[in-house]
Amino acid sequence: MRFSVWMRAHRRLQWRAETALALGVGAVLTALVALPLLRIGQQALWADGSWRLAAAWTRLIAPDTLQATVNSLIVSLGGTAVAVVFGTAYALLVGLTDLRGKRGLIFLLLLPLMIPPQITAMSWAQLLGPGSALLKPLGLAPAPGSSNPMYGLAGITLLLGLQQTPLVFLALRPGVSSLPSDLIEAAQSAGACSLWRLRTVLLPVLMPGVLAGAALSFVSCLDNFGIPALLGTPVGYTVLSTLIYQKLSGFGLSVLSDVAQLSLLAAALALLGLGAQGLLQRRWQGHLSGASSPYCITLGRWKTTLTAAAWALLIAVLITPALALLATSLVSIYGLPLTPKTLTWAHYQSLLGDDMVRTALRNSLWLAGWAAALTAAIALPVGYLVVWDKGRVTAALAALADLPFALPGAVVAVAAILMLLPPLPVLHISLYSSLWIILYAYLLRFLTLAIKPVVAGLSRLDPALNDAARSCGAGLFMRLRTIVWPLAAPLLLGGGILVFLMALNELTVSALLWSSGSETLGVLIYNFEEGGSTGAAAALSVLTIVAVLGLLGVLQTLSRRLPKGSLPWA
Amino acid sequence: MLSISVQGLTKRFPNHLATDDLSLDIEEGQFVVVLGPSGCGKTTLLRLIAGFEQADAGRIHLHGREVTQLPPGARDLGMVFQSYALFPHLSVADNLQFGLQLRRVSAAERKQRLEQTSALLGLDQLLSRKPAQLSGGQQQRVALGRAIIGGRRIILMDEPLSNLDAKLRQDMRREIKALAVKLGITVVYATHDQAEALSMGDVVVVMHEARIVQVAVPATLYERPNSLFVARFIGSPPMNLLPLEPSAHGLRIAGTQQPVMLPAVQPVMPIDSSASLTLGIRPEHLWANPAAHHPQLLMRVDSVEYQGSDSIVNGHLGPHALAARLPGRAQYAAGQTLPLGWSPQDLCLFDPQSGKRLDLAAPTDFLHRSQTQEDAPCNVVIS
Repeated sequence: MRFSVWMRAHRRLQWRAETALALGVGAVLTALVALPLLRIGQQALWADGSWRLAAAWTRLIAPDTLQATVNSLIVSLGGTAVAVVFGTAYALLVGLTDLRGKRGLIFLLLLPLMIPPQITAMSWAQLLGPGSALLKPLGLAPAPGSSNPMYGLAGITLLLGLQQTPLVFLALRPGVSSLPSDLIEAAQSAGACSLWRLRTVLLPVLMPGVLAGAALSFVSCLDNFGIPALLGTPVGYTVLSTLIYQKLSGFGLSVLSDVAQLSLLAAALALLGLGAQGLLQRRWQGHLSGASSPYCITLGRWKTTLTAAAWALLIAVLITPALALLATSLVSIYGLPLTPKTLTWAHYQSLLGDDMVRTALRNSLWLAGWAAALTAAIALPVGYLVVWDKGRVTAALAALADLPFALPGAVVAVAAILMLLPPLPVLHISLYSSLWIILYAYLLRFLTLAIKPVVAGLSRLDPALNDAARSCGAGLFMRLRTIVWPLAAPLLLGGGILVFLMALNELTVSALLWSSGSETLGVLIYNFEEGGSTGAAAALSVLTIVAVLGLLGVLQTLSRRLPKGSLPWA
Repeated sequence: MLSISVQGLTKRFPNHLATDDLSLDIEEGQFVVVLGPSGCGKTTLLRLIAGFEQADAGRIHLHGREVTQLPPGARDLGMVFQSYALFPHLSVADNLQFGLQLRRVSAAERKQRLEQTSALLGLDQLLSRKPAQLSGGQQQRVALGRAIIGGRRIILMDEPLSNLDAKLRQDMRREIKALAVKLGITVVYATHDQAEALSMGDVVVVMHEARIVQVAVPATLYERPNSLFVARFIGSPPMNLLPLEPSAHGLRIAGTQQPVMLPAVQPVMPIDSSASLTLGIRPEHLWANPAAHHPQLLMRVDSVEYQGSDSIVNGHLGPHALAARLPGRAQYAAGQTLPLGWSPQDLCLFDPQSGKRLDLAAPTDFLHRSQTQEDAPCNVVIS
């Protein structure tokens, strides 16, 4: 009898364990994701107990807002077009033909995803500007004093496009590689000429990927801060993200409501893009059976030419700017040509002695490390609850975590300010102007990157594993420790490294949230460049790229041990 | 002593009823097969007994102890999953010991049990391997071992053989049955495979649309199905079912002129001569070219399937399909008319409205058997 009483108590304890975990995770996700999103809407549209729609409308039709909105739309649509053209061309070449050196091409194609956009912008500006250390010796640089051809609309659009090309490429790859050859052969045997073949067979396979990639790249273009900040601000070309930055850095917290309204506008544009994709996507629904072997076009005598062209283009747009960056970091005074006489390590040496660099490096590593660790720590129970416990509330909150990643970074930054500016309850301290507010924003922004691979990976496992452990008598935390953790560890590591990389490269959020003492590497590079220390900015950028490539190498080694699909590439 | 007792077990999922008021008593040491088509609720019944699902109504007792509210780990039973559910990151030894470690069994006892179980299942050479390095049959053995290593007296098995190939499945059937007998454990075994059910079960529980339709020993189930559903579900080819209709000269097969003389035994339920009936007879209870005085069915032959030891002759009788299992190599041409003999004691009669069997002839052994516990309560009682 006593035994059964004990069992009953034990049972209640177990149920409470599952419920307690769901409640705890729910509370964390609500505080981290749901509340900030609600808070920003409230700040923008509601004040002192009444709607402030009139004020919001005034902000919306203010000339600077309209100009920035139009500019944002132009560069985002333009950038998306560039990305779609490049991404589709390379996806077709890599996916459908017997081109040489595909692995190397793919690696190069995905590189822009990992290189901070402000560094890309800077390297192009340095490559093509009048001070180009690389073009000067060749006599190709623009005349001194002339304006940089990268500044303004065209430069921003091109670089945004290059930056988002990997997104289109990645979105298209599964469709292209699953194109069944029997479909094309069937079209051929039915007498379809080659153009007709493209239309009827290729289009339905490619369109969903193109649309998804285009929507993603549109949203990312809207979000981007580094490129328009470095290439637009010098010539007064303002987009929404830079407008929010200018307002916040110029007027401080007094314009918080204005900034919230602008964030809401940016969020609305992003959601509009995603919505349009959803609508268009419906036209192209329908599944192709991928039973037969993938289609492969033999290039024959065009193979060498096309291979060379594909490599040459990528090298021109990716490697050359990086070389320019390297040259700038090695030349004694920006504007001089790089010759043995002007070659110097001074910029690198100055970085070593600079306290600010050390602080920024420490801050960035601290932020990236904690962001990776904490998002992974949240992702583990979320993955368990969503996949094995079928927790619907947790699943809804986890889906909500997608939003901050899709929304412009400025929205996340403003949300973080709104949440952490008022003193914390109980502790009565404000975390504003500390590193914590940046960490909070990173968690909000990158959480989905850690959750996605865990949920996907656990879904591929047999749900009976959980039941088997339960019937062996393992309680919730025992199962999390002995079953879920060992199985999810590689997924968490992959997701964690991705978050780490993103956080290390991040500028959009930290540019709005940093204060003296909490600079990040991205902010520091930006400040160096803004303050005219071009050489130091270039040197720091080169070091960042080297670090990113090192991390990618680690991830590549790891990828063989990860389940398929847990990394965005490979 | 009753090993498992289930009363009024009901489980409702958001859009369907998975088990509807199930009651079942299982004796200690019985090998009970729960048989039914997919979606009939057999897996849910097992999961309710195991504690993975919480019943909406009803009670479960294991060895006299109520466990309805207990979590799976506290129910003291083992489970073998269709997918085996071996922990992919653990070695065979660690998979087997998983439950023992949780229960803080001493290292010495663990070692002894591990040796015993792995020897019993022929896993001694594989203990350090990971599940991915094992064949399907070996994985199956590890799953079995994990369920029995703790000395549990009740083992639930959910379609444990469905992922194996045909040959291996036959071997494992025998092995699992022998293991259960040797250990004296109670096994509840869910399957949709009637061959498994008939060959392994001491008792077979047939489920259909969330309900138990018949509980019987395999022979009764096959010979005296209590409903049209069971008659159609068990047997390959299934029982021939021919609707009867009243005519001026007694009953005849519906849509034909073929009269059917029912045995002159008083039916259990008074059969209204105007009521419709369905006659059921197994294909092997028909024989070719009977003596003239025997009751006959005239079949128009469509095709012959040669099966080695015998042949299945498919054909039709009026609008109704008919199959006969005839010995050896039967050679009939399509279109040929074949007279088939049958014996009244092999007949089953069903009420086509309710689907239940109306017992006619009551063979002596049947009378005896129907008084035992094993026959389902919904069988018509013989007066």
